[in-house]
Amino acid sequence: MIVFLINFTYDIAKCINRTHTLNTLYNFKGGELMIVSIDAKSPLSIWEQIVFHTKENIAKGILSKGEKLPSVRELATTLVINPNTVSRAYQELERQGIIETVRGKGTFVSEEYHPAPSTETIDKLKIRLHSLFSDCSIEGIKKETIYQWIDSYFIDGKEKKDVKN
Amino acid sequence: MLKIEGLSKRLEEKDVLQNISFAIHKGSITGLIGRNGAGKTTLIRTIVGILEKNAGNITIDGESIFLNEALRTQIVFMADTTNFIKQFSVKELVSIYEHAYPNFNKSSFYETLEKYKLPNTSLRRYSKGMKTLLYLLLTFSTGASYVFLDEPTNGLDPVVKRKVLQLIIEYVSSGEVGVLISSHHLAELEKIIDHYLFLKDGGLESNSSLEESFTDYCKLQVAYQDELSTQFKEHPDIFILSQTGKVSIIIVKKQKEEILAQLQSAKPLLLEELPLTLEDLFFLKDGGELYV
Repeated sequence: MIVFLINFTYDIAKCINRTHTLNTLYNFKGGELMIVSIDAKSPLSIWEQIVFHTKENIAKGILSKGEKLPSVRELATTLVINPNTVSRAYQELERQGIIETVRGKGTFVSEEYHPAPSTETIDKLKIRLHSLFSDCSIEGIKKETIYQWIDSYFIDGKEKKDVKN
Repeated sequence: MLKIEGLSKRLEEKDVLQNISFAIHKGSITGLIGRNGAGKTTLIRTIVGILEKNAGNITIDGESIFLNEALRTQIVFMADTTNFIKQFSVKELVSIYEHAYPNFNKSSFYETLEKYKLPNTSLRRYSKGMKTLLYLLLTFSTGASYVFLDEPTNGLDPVVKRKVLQLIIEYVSSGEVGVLISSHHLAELEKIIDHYLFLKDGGLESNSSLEESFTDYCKLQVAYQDELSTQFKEHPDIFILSQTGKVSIIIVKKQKEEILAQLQSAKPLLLEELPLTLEDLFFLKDGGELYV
């Protein structure tokens, strides 16, 4: 069974996630399973969330190289969002060389993927982290605890990747 | 492309619509928003020909629909009530629609009817949700390129509402239809539209892409030791959404960088950007007070 997981909340956020998320489990044709959760209150726009989380899924090995992504129509319908928003996200992913569209066949995770985030992306990520860290400090969570979370995220990520490879 | 140019409508001595111009493109969804009585329904009813315009023109790919009546089959309307359809059976409705729309896609209609498990019977056995789904299905099966939906999700349960929205998205994904939706459900509209039209007192207050507005404006949460200074309170480019104690939520309309620097130099206790929503834009465009 092919598992495509768009997880709209990343691990650190999950720990202290105060925003409302919508989780849906869909059974797609051919038995494909898709777990979706949209963060309506994310500072990132929806297309940016799709870009970000597709990348995250690739990094975690949930989506592997050469794997097929849902069509624009499928993803738009499932997430109940504008199809042009999905197209926009796919275009951006394609521009960054992360996915490839094969005419008549669909969209696939690129075999050659070398991450190179733009300064704009880095700045946005920093802002998100900053806001999470200030929430943590309000809740009295220590720096060391956050370091632990970070470590466990990367260990988990690496492990999952190793299994896949 | 369907183009509306300088459309005006008078009803009972009142200018309900004044000089409205905008365009609808295939493959896109336009949201029509505004207060009750702003003229949303009148605008839709004038475009689809239920009401007669007083001035203006409507063209499809450059050709006026008032000169070539056959172009009317490119336009379809779904009213905000199912009163019109509820007295018929599915079969009768199909023949009514086939009569009005020669390109009515019967086979795809029955296929989808089955997919959504809607019975091929009299509509007396239908619930409100089923009636709305059927109405939507009839509307999209007409083969018309421009679809006008007046509050399609009003009063529906979350399950049917989702189905209705998914059906709309599915048809728009084909790139062959352009849809205009009037609605007050701003949170759900925000996720599915490309453009929004804000109607205020019969005039088009705003016609822009959602993305443009979201990048042009900037919503901030600010707090100062003392209240927000009058310098900012009365600033023409700052709109105050709410104020509770020291904390204010504001929208910066222009000169983002400059105002942000000014706010920063006034030594705030808190200065944080918040995600902008369509609802924020609604209050901004309406200019009304949010203080309760």
